[in-house]
Amino acid sequence: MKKRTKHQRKQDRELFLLCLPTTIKTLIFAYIPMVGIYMAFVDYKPSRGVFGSEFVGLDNFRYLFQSIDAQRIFSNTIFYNVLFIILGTIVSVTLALLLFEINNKVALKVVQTSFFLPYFISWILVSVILQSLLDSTGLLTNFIYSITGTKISFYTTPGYWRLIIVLVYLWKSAGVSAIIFYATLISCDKSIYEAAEIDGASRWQKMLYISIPYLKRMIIITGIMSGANILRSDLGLFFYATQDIANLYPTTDVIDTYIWRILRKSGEFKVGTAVGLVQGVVGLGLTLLANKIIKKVEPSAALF
Amino acid sequence: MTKIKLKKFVGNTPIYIPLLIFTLFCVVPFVVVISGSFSDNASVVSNGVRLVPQVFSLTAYKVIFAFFSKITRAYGVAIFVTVIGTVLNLVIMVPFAFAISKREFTFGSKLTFLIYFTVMFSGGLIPTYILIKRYLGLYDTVWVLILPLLASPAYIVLLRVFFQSVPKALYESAAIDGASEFQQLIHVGIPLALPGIAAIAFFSMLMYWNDPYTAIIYIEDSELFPIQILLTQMTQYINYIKSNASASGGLISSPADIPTTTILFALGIVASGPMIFVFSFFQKYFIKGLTAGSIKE
Amino acid sequence: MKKFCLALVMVLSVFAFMGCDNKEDDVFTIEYYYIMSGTFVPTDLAKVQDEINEILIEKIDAKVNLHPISAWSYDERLNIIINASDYFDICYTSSWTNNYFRNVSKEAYYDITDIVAEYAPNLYQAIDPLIYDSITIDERLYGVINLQVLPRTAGYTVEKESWDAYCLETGFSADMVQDYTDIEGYLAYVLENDPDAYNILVPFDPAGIVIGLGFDNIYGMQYPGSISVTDDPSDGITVVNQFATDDYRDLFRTAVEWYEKGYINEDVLTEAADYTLAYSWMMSTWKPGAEAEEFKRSGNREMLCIPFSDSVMYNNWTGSNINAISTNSKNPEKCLEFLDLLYTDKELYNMLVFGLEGDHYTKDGTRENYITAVENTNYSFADVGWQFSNQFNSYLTEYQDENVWEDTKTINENAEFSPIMGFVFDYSEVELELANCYTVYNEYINSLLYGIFGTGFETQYNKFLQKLEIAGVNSILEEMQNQLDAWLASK
Repeated sequence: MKKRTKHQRKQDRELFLLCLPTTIKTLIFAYIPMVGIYMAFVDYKPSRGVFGSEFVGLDNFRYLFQSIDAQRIFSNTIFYNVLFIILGTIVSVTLALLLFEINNKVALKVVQTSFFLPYFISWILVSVILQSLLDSTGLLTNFIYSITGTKISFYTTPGYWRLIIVLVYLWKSAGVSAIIFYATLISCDKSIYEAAEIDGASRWQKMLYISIPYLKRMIIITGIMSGANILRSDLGLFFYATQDIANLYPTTDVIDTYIWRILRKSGEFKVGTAVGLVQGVVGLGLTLLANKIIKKVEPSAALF
Repeated sequence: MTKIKLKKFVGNTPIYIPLLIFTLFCVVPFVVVISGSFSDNASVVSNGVRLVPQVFSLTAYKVIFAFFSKITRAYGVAIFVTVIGTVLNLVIMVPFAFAISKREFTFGSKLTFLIYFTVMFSGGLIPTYILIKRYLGLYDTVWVLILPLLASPAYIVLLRVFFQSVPKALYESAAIDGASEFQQLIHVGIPLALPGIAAIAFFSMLMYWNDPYTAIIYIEDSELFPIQILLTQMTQYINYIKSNASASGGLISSPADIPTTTILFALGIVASGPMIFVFSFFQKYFIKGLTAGSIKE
Repeated sequence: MKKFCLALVMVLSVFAFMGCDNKEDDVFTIEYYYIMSGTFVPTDLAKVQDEINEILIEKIDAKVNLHPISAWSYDERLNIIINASDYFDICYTSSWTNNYFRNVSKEAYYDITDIVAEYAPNLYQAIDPLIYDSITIDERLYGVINLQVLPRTAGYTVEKESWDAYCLETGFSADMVQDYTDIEGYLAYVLENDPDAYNILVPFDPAGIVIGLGFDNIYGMQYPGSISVTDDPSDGITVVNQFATDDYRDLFRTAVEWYEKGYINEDVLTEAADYTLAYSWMMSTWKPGAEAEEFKRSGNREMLCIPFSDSVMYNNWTGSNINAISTNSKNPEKCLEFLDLLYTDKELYNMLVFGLEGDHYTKDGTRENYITAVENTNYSFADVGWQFSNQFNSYLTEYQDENVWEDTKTINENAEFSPIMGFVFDYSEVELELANCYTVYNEYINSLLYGIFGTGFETQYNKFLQKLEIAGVNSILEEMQNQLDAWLASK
């Protein structure tokens, strides 16, 4: 550690004190149980405990890597996550920028509230609404039938669900993410905008040259944070909203839904822990890599 | 309309049209949920939900209100957990985020790594369960609904970004005036990062309010069930009395009337209603211009 | 840094003391976990529990702490309890929930081989030793089987009014139903007379078809590997992939036909079956008195239950209704005494199931053994009495025939045994293949049972079989055959 001045040490001490409660909570609730990750390498028998059970090396990982559907679940997971990060960011940032242009208080309140509404609709409700749209008597099905004369069976055709899932994802989360970007925008220094206005900048120029750069840090950070969960998926979307209909697995089965089904049947936590470890290692690797790159390009936006 | 107004209106359409579309995209399903909750179950099952109830019915709400005392109790638990949880959450997260936002803080990036590491790796359900039940004794207490969810690393990192946007010069001028780090936080950091803190505070409330897992695993005493859990139970209950009409205690006259699907909608409204009101309270922090600007002191 | 570590140690040591035990009760209390039928714990549970404990203290010097858990959460809760090694004494376990064999391999259950005959004599002797063999692993026993209807018989439940009308018109009758296809005439009849019917036939039940076709699964119904109950050991028994047999192929094809004809709801994938509107469904456990249960399930409509397969004691199903004791239990002998008492003491059994006379039910003045539940009763486990050692102890409620227990006993006594009764399969060598086969089964089974593949049936069905091969079905069958041959040779 580089040599610290007395003043620096005092500052460090004060700042550290501010960090103490969170640190203690994290150490207790997250790090103490973390030793249990060892369960991924043993044939876990509860009465013997995690450390008393027989070591089996990488045996538990076979259920994931030698799964008959391994290729499918890995490719689906990564495909969707990458798509979500890219599309999600574009849509949320756009929404935030648009929201920033609204001056009318009433309009602002209405639009903001509407952004949150999808968040309140539980995934089970979402599955019911989707059904109303897409099953054989569904609104959308009937609409398409009346226009084109073909009756599409959404729930037996996996192909359509790539689009459906992306749309449902954006619907659920884009508005909420937009609020974060919006809060970033309104924390800025107004004087820059005023100066640009005086110089004759148009609305679009202001957006492009002031707002977006201002959001850079937040966009990068949220991007890096998404990397940590590159192999994870939201069960609510992939399991509950799709009603776990097997015909759709080719496009809706991801690592987490696959493991969830295995766990429900067998209750083998050792497998779940092994998979969680894999997801964590890949997530860590990606995060560290992204962090390293960002540090060179835009140091203040690095995670650590 | 005058020429200028017309120009402004046309100029604004690229803004308003996309927003309008997305707003409708969000609002319409919610209206459908409301409509479904006031619908007759049979029509919803055969034809699906519509914007307006095809057959109006209050059965779903009738069933819910039969559980009125259970529901008020569950609301009470949820409100307690959400309020206390969010306050506690802010109290421990905000100072941490402030500290790690300062580049001079020697331990800053190490502490960030410490908490962020837990996002990627976790002991899993069983070790956590053993810790909470056997060693911390939190099983079947209201605190188990609050403590484990505190200090989410994602929220902390987001808060850090908000604190990073506070100009360093302001901290330094406060320091010159003799302010300790804590005072800098209170007088400089928080006022300027307020929109971000408000956003995170709201997310925190949502997190506590919508938590569907903790109570299922750690609570056995039905008096401590928060509203989300109770609502899941009610859905199961409805499905149960469908095959056991006598167990409904005369609540519903005929088996066809049992709102197995519409109850989901009604419960959705009951569960989310309060949060929408809470959000209106938070909105004042999201109105542009209200907080920024008071920096120059 | 040092100060920080000291603070941390101090904080942690405070927590270390929080996990201390309370002072022990004088009398041993049995923590009993079982399934309840509704979702909310009955309000009078504590009250009834006190009465029960009065009897228990007097008879076996112990108390019980009842933990009824709703059927929806039972699997989840017990999963956590078992894997976290939480304390419990007795829990309900079987092949379809809280899997017995899995938990035995996890060393979660107490080995009662040497104490069961002494401490639960009545309960233990009530079931044929061959059936106990089917849950005995490496010559050790880990649970007691509850007495109820034991053999499995597949059947159909049909709506009585329309069935009677159909029989009147065509001269058909219930005993002419010998096979799962024999109700087709009835289905056509219903469709003709009620074209808008919601679900004329609820899609085939996966358990029902296994039993209906007479296959005894070696590992479980979702896995390939079974034998036919008509096999004769003296000819040698072959383990087959039941999904690849002609029987199954024909059944799936029938499902496709019946879906096309409209007997099965078009939206069957997304809409849960509505038993209160359906006209008929397959059942996997026909038994005397089934009509009473189906009456409730159908939304209080009168139904008729028609068996169509032979009543057989299946190796896979018969023993699968078990109460097991935890390895951590502090007094397993007392637990066995308690379960035995439930078997012998009719009053205790009915108190557990129905509650207290006057508060929760009233005895029927005219008919012996009949009771009527109080309206809006605050206590009832009437739907789940088969968990409590001896269902034949139960009082009768309306719609149950007065001879129902006698008739059930007759069936128990007269049923044939499956040729592999008592065989326990050691799955440890093929765990991965089994998991993969389960994945394949899970992906295709609903579509096959519902018959929704239409013209693509042959392609999809062959894909299903191919995928099973990739998943390793042949290794599984080979392993099963080897173990079975060895077992047969040793008998």
